[in-house]
Amino acid sequence: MESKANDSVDFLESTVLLEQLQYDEGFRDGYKDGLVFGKEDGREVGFKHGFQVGEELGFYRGCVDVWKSAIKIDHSAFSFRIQKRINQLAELVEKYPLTEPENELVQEMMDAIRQNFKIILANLGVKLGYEGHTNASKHDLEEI
Amino acid sequence: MKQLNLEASDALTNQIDQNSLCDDDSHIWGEDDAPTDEHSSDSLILNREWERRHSQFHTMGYRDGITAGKEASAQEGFNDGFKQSVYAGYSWGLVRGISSVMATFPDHLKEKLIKDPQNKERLQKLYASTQAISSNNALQIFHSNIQQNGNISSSEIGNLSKELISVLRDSTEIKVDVDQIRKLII
Repeated sequence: MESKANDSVDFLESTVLLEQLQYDEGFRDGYKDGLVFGKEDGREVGFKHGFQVGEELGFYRGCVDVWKSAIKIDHSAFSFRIQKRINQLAELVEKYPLTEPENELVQEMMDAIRQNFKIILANLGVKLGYEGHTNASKHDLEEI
Repeated sequence: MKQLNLEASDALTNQIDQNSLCDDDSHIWGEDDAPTDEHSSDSLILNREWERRHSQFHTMGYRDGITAGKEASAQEGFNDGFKQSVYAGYSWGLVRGISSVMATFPDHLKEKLIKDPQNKERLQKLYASTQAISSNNALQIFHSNIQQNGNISSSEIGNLSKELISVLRDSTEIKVDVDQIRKLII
């Protein structure tokens, strides 16, 4: 009776061991493939996100540059208050770390830029067809 | 009479107890006997089960491995993809921003910035064409061109960028990063 119990323990042990080996072998194979898939998937999402972030920031930069050019040529083009806002926006856009998507501050900085931009538009009383990606960028990040 | 009846019922319960005990016993023996009696046929079954399980555990491991591998490399891939497109997006954003704001200016301000009335008109058209391209459109154009030949100078985005550069050539008052836009069409 006792030897039978030992046998079954050994049997169980070797079963678990073999199962573990097979699992590990599968894991290794999967991991290798996962690295390739993950990189490809990540690249796809990153590509999309990069283009959108770049487009949004470039858009603000283009706006700021034209506003500043207008101020230079005609000081009375905008009120002092708006000019101050434009300069603030210029500074924020300049500081934005465009090539550091992992930087913890990017979301906060983008929010500040958007906020500033909206206030300028409201003060100018103009509407632009494209006004950046207020939701897209955040949504895309949640995809990964 | 009453006593007798009681004895009889006692005997009956005893018998029932014994019967059920006997039933239990045979049940236990039956279970215990099977593996020892037919050991060889059982290991055959086990072998078959083994093969089935081999692939089962391998598959389980593979599945978990894929998830872990994906998690380990996704960020790296994300960063690569991000850097691949961020400046192209930025350049295209400049085209959007410059043409958008110019379109909001009153005529007298526009004329101060762009002397040539023809250029003023071109810029207005450029703004309309730029507006017609949604952000997703732009991304698709860029994406498919990158995959095909690595540049977008011949796409609509490229053409609009060239047009903007051309319009701005004579307008020294507009100080924008033309060199960055030019990168789109090289």
